[in-house]
Amino acid sequence: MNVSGILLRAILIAIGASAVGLGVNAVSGRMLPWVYVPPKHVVLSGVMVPLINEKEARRFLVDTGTVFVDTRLEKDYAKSHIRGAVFFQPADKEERFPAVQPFLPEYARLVLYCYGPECPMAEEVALFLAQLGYKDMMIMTAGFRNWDKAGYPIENGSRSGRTSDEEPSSRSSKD
Amino acid sequence: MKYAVLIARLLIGGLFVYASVYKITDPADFAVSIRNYMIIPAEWSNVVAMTLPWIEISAGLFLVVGILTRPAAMLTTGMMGLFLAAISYAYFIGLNIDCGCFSASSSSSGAVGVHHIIRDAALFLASCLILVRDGGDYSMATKLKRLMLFPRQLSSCPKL
Repeated sequence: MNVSGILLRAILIAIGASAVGLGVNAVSGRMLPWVYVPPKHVVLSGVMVPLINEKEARRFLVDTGTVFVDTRLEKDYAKSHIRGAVFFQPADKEERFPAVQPFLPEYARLVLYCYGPECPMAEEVALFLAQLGYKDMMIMTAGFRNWDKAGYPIENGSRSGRTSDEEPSSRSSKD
Repeated sequence: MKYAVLIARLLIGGLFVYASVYKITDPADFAVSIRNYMIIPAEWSNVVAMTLPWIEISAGLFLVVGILTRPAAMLTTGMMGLFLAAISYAYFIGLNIDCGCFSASSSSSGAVGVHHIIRDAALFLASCLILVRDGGDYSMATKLKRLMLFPRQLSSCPKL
């Protein structure tokens, strides 16, 4: 069997197997749509939490009624984070919450973020806060990686809120 | 060499069948894994999750049984190449290392590390070996062909 013969047969196996897969999906009880459409929101403990990208989140940075919440690991928060973001990761959230609570007024809009779309930690924190009664939350699913890539404002330092006296080094927005 | 090819066939074929079972039983979960890698557009993730595991299980079964062995090996080699590239990409951009997404919190597959890359590279090479060196030994296709061409040779009954 020459190379083109092998390739042809390989393609035929792949096409046949794919057809079986699509057929099984069509008759299965939990049929998936062929094209995945990302959800626009999640409902956590009865609270609707919109999922937004970095461009939408950027608009809230200048809003004084919005608090950004960084749910990544502490070492990464210390390295750099969205300007003014409060650090609150899901590990030991019950113990950490009293220290973070002053920075998270209940009337504020919270924008939570993690590393990127693959990371579930922003949703874990949002669920915890929803259970505590926070109603106005959004998750920036694009995460810090895409925010940073877009050149939006970030800062360094390990402070956990906006009210610190410390003046961290920062980068302004490109736009 | 034919024993090395046989071992590689059973190893790769068995692994592909084993790995495809959970993906076939829960394609929605597999689609999430595909999206996590952020290599293909998220819109395509469902179609890939519906089809790829069936290609895996077909190629795996063909390798184990010995039907269309080299075309099946071409498929497993191609898929191993893709998996190796995907896992290396995830490792080098620090997808899992950064967030602990696959170990500490809700996901469960463990952080991507160098050992995954080495393992996939070894499996890729084993798959290449089948593709290049398979001579049709210990294969059902060869057995069937012999049976059709020389049916009497296989009969052990003495003629009376």
